[in-house]
Amino acid sequence: MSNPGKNSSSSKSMQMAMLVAAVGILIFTAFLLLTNYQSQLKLRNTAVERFRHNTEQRANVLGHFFSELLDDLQYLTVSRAVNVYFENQALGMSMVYGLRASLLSVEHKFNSLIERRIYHGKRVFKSIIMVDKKGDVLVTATKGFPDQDGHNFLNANIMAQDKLPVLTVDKNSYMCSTPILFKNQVVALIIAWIDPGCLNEYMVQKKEGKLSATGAMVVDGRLYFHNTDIFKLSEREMDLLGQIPTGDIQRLDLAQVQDGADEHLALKTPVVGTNLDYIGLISAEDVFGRTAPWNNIAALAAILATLFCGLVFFWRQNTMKLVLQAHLDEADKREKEIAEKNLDLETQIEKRLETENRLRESELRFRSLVESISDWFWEVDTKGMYTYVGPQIKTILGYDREEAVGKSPFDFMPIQERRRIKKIFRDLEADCSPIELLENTLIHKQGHRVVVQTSGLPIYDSHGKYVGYRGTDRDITEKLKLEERLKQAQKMESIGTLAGGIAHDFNNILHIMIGNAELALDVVPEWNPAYESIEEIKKAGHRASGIVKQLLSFSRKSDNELHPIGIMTAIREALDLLRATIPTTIEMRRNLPATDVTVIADPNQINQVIMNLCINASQAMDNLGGIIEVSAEKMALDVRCENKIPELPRGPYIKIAVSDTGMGIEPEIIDRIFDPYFTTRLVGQGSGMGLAVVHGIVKSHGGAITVESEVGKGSIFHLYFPLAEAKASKGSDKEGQIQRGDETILFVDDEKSIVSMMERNLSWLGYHVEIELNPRDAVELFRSKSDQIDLVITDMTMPQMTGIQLSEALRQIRPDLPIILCTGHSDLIDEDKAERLGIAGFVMKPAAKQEMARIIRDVLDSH
Amino acid sequence: MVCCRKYAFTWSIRALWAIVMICCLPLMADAQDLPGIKAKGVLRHLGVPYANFVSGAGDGLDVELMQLFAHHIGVRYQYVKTDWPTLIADLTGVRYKLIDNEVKILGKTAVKGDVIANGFTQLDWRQQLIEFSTPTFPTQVWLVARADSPMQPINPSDDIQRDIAQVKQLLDRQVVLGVAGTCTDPTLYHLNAVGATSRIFKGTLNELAPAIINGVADATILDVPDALVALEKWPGQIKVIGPVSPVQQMGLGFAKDAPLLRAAFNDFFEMAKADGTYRQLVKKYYPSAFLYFSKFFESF
Repeated sequence: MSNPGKNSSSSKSMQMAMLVAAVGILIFTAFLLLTNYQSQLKLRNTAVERFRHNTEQRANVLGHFFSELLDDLQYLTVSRAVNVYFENQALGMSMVYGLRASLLSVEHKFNSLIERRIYHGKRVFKSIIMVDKKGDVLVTATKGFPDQDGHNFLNANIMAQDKLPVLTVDKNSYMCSTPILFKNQVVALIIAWIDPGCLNEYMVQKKEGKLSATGAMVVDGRLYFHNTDIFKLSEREMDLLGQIPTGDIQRLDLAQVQDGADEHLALKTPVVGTNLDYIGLISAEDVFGRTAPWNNIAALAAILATLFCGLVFFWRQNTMKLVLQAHLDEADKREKEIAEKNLDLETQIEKRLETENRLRESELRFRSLVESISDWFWEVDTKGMYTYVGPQIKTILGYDREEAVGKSPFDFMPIQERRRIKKIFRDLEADCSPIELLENTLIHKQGHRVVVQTSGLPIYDSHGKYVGYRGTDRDITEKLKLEERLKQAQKMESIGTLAGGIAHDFNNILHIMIGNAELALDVVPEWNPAYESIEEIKKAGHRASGIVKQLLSFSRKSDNELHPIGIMTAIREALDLLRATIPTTIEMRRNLPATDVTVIADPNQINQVIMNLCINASQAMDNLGGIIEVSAEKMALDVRCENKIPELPRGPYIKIAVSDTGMGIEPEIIDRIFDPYFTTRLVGQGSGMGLAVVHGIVKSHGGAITVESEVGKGSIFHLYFPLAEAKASKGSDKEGQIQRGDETILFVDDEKSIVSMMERNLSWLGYHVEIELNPRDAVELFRSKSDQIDLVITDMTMPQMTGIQLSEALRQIRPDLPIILCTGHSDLIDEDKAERLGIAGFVMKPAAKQEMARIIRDVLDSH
Repeated sequence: MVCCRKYAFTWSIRALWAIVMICCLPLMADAQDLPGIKAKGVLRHLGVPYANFVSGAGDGLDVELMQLFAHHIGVRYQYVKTDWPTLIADLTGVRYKLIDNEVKILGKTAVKGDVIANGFTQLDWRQQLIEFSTPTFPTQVWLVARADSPMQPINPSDDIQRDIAQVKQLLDRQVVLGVAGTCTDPTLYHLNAVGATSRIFKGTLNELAPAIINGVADATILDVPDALVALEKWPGQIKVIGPVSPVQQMGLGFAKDAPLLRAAFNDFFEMAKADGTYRQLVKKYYPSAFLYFSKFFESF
């Protein structure tokens, strides 16, 4: 808002200031005009003086110029050429005979002067002549002179010429003459005509810039050479000018002057050294100006009156203007305020648009994020119904988003799970607590179960009212399975470790049992009923040994021992063993060829294969009854079978089939049944390793396995083993075939029972036996009898010193000593490693007497 | 033995003489006409330093005229310096003696040049020996005396013979200096008949004026060109008394057996007059000649 009182006060102040300024300007203007008036008077006087000075200066210049020309002529009069002429004349020479030649030099002199004296590019002398006292022209420098006027001039002046040079003015030119003296007598005159053109143009009639100042020459009161372009004077005016007194500036009324002015200033001043006067003439206006100084005073009064009226008018206009300006200022201020508000409004609109754009971008970003993650994003209302589901529901549960919206998460749960989760969710919803990693099970559209991990937060509207939950479901089914498999693998690792740990001790025990049984069989006659019992003990010992091997093999603690075997025998033994474990509701049929078939295989692993397949079959029938049938037949793998078993080369094979009448295998999982840890049974009911082990064993024997199944009818597994050409080794030898010897053997083992049993066995085989329970004692014994001991048999695992260390100590005493290493089980040694260490033989406990005898004989015979 | 030696000496002298004659043979050759000059490719100009005709410094009216003529006929110019007594002999190859304006042949001599151009006045006796070209320069012989001589310059009349008579009347018992064989030979003007004593000057024509200034004789005779030069050189020391001969003509001298060369020059000279070349040369060397001989030069 403007302040009218303040504006009014400032306006008055401004008006006063303007009034004072106006009065000041008026006074200053009057001062300036007065000063100007005085200056003009001074300028007038100065102009007059300058006119006088210029006129006198020009007369002086003319006088100097004329004096130079007269000097030139006087120089000619004393020149050598002129004197020669007059000397020759004085000698009496005639013009005809010699005298005329002298005038040539004079003429040359005259011409030289004419050519040399140049003023503003023009020759000053029109002609120079020399005349004798009679008036006869002796030398003429320019032809045609003197003309008649010249002769008149000569006639008028020649006799009057004395010794001084004379300058006069003809109507057409200036003429100057100087006498020639020879022997102090005037004998001739040199007369020169001066071209008035250059002289008038540059000296006499020269204008003063733009001023109409000029001049004229006066001789004897007669005016010559005035500028007729400016001055067209009448005879009266010329007489008037010619008669003005010398030295005083005269104001003359010359109406005939063409410069438009009537009044002129004229000054006559003598030309020094001549009989001429010079008149300077200038228009009075050029000197005094066109206006008189008092005119300026009148002009000042007019200006002051006009200025005063102007100030009054300006003051009045200014007052009105101030009021109007106040209104305009107020209007401007309001307009500015509106403009600022509009600007604020535009800024707010821009910010809002920007916010909306950011919100839109954020929503787009959020939607992209939600739809790109693997988790299933959802929102439920207060009734627990889906209001939004992410597209991942299709991947996790197989439902489309439209199918899920409007349903409750509990609609996708099994009944028991639904009850459990409802209770949890109600508790959380009551407190509006977040859902944190809640595991729950849902039913896939295809029927299988899916375990998800749910997280969520309560959501509120803009008024803070609870409107539902928003969260995500993460599919952890595979994760749980992997975790289960990891647990199983860890369990199997533990079993393997346990099996490896007990195998050594267990084999030692079996070694003692089998060894002693064999010793007993040697002394008990076959008719004795104890013989059959001891035989069963021996078989049980070997079977226990096989179980130990299976444990080690299952836990990858043992190596395959592939050699030609009769596979039918192995199958029958497995089936015999299974019969005791398979429920009696299941009928076991065998359809095996009568003659055995030789394959390169580990009989224990073949046994395991058959047992695993049959156990799987019995479980497939869920122990409810059915038929398990094992059959075998020889076959030749040819082109027809290549498509079925592409990985096998052509050749003869034994084909073993294990079939059941169980529930069968669903097609979706039939390709995965050989995967490790794959199982369809509940947790704790199976490891998922059975078929994987079978698959691995068959592959390691160069064979293959296939499966055919029909859900509800049963499955059949086909095993293919390549046939071997060699005959199968027999499981037991006759006594007569036992190899014997009489060498001395040092047997070392920390197990006293084993040492006792082996001492008797080796003695029975005919060998001399030295025994030691302590390896250090064994070293000492060998050191004392090294040349008597032919072979050393040592246990691997002993206190104080392993079998390897003992062997190294003994061979330091006798490097060629053959040593057989005997062990129940050790991670430290196997047959290959023993061979690399220079061990001559390697025996795994429990070893049969026959096998032991063969190895001993082979080692001794090779050394 | 002695006879043999004398015989050998005689033959040696003869052989030497033969060699000398062979070497001098070109010098003894006759003056050549135009074809021979063109064949040799050189025009030999016989000259004696005299007034402004031959300055002796490589220029002069006749020197420049001969240079232009040599260029006109397409040969090289060569200046051959000679002297007044031998001037004609060097052109004609004839030794002669002048007795009372009569020429007496004495014998032959070597020809040294092809043309005489030297301010050479056409005299009767000279025409007995050589042929002159068309007149190239007018002249007159004046009597010149010292400034203090009692002889006073005559008052000219309209009659040249009367003027000559006035001059000769003044020569009684006056010693007049001149150069034999030239236009200044006093005998040519019969001065002895009027009581004057002729004295032959051994110097050059240019030395006549200073000779009389030095009192060698009372007066001398100079042709007009030489007198004008003398007046310019010694103003106030000599004075011209008057003429001793009528107006004469100067021209170039040619051997009588060189008519083609003479005709070629006459043609060239007419061309030089017509195109103003010769007038420029005269103006350069004798500007006063136009004052005294205006009639001669008015056609140039």
